[in-house]
Amino acid sequence: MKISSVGRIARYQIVFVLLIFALIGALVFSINSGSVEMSVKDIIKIIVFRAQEGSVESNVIWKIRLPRLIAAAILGGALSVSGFLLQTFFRNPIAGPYVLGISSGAKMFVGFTMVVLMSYVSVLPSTIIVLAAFAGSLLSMGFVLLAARKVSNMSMLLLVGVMIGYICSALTDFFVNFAEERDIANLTNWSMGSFSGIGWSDIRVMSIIVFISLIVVLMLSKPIGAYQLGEGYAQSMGINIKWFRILLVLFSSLLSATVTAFAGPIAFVGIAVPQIAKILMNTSKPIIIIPTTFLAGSVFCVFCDILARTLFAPTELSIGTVTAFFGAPFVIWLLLKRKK
Amino acid sequence: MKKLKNIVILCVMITVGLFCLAGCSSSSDNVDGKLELDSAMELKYAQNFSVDCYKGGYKIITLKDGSRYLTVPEGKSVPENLDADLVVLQLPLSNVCLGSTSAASLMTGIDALDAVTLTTQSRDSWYIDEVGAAMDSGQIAYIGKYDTPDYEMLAAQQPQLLIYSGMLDTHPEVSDKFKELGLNYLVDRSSDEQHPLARVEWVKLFGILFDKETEAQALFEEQEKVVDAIKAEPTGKTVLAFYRTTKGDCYVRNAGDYLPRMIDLAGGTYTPGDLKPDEGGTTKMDSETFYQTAVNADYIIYIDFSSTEQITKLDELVAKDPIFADLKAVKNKTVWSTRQDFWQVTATLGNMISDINTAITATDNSHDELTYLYRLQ
Repeated sequence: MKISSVGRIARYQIVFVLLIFALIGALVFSINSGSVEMSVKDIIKIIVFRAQEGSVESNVIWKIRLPRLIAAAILGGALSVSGFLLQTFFRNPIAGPYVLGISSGAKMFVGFTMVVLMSYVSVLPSTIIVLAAFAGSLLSMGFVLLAARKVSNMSMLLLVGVMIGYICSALTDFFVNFAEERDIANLTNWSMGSFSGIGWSDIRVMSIIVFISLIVVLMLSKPIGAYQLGEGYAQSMGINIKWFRILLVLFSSLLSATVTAFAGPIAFVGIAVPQIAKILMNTSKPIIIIPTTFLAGSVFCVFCDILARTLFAPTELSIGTVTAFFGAPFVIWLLLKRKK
Repeated sequence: MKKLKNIVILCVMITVGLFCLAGCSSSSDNVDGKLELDSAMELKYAQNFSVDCYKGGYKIITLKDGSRYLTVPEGKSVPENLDADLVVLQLPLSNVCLGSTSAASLMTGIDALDAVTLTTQSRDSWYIDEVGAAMDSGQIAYIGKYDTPDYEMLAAQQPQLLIYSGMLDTHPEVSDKFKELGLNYLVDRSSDEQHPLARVEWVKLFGILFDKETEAQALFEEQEKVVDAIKAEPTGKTVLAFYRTTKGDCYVRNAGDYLPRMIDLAGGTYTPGDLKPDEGGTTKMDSETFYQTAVNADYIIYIDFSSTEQITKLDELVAKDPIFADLKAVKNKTVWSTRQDFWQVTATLGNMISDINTAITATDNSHDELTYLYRLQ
């Protein structure tokens, strides 16, 4: 018994260390990839000693590559944790942030902003798009939360989420019917997701939301673990199920809404990464899986972003294209495995 | 002696007249480093920009969106204490990133393409031959799509100006990044102009930016003359312009769009004339409404956005939707299709109007040799 416990802890430690190295490797690879050639030595000097301030190299590192890769790491982690929370809540491995209409809600609000508001203002500030996506994501999850008070069957609730997604998509299509071609093109591009153009002010806002949410979610590890063993067991442990479920959906929504607001919808990360984390750790313990999921999501998104911006450079692939290319086969494999 | 004096006076008057036509005073005076208002450039059609001319050749361009640009002539210094929102462009511009096809056409028309080094459109999507040739020769490099350009390449190349289309409006994160990188950008709003000659008149703005004002004035006047020469009497012929998506939706140009205006100038009567007369762009129509609208149109201009093979036969059009076979224009074989460069060319909109005029009036074979339209057989 003791030996297996030591083995488990050793496995956790090894996976953690490997993931941290993978993340560092991905970040180093990312900061060293791009159109402007720079030596590793120069990059270190620019980052550590703020050398060559104001030069092209310094601008590329500080204003383009660093904010982008940090955003990919933070948002990738956030999206994965959001997926884990929803999968726990719905007890369903394919419950991801975007299956439940979060992206559809965000797209509906962004579409409304682009099509309707653009008729009244000539230029949209970027904060409006971010706020619209954020509000749309939260609104659609608000409806899921309302339904959660009435519906106790998780499959039914999942279905309600999917339906809300359809309603949002229908409303978006309604706006699109009256939209100009350029608005349709812009909305389509937005809905494909990208880490391009993210700046330090965006990093500050997303860091605050994501890390506060992450701390709260970690503090909820114990109740989440009890909930995994069944609602009855959780109740017997003194957990207020009603409030616990609200907290779970709320923080999951907050995390995925933040991702959608800053990078647009990113497919499959929320579904695939929590499963990868569980396979790597061979456990479902939230205190272990939550940080693992965050790290794995960060690594996955940073690597996908490198591919998105370098595979066909200077044409940039949408991040959703790359994550789906790697994520979708995994989900198919997972479904087949469950079938067996 | 008196005769010579008269000739000199005449020459002076012609010179002054030419400058008045161009709208601004000479840039050769000695004012340097300060802004002394001289005059406002006269614009005949354009609504979306204005130009104030200052002594010494300085000019301030103001766009409809409120953005302002000060052009500083070569050899002149930048005036001090300028408003913070004023974008200073030290001429000559020789390193420009182009993200607008209209601007590309107008710049090509005044031979200013040499200044372009970067573009946000890939080689395959350009139908302006000169731009294509410049990309083939390596003079112009592709930097990725307009909404996700390669910022690193931009930071390295430091273009003096990025000329974008109105697509930038809904991608504020892109303009924010340009500002962060210290890059100047200008949104070409010529496509918001409702009158075709107003779109052409934007050439005057590019004439200022690339020190080609005389060429710009000449191009504008030439196109104006082409339109004046048509002197199209209303023919009473109704003309419809539309395109069909691969999904089967028909998009009809609004009556307030510049294309119906071109049809009117060419002597046609746009149908449906009451479809959003105050708006540009298109309206999606359901099959029944489209049928009702199009069935009796004498002529149809089919807008072919296909980037590969364009349709050349009426049968191909009817194959897209059998109801097209009932349309009068299809029965009478009076359906014209746009060539691929139709939507990128702005500099010669006058010639396009002339083409439309030929298409709806010619009784000989002259409509077989049009530049921007071709008849579906």
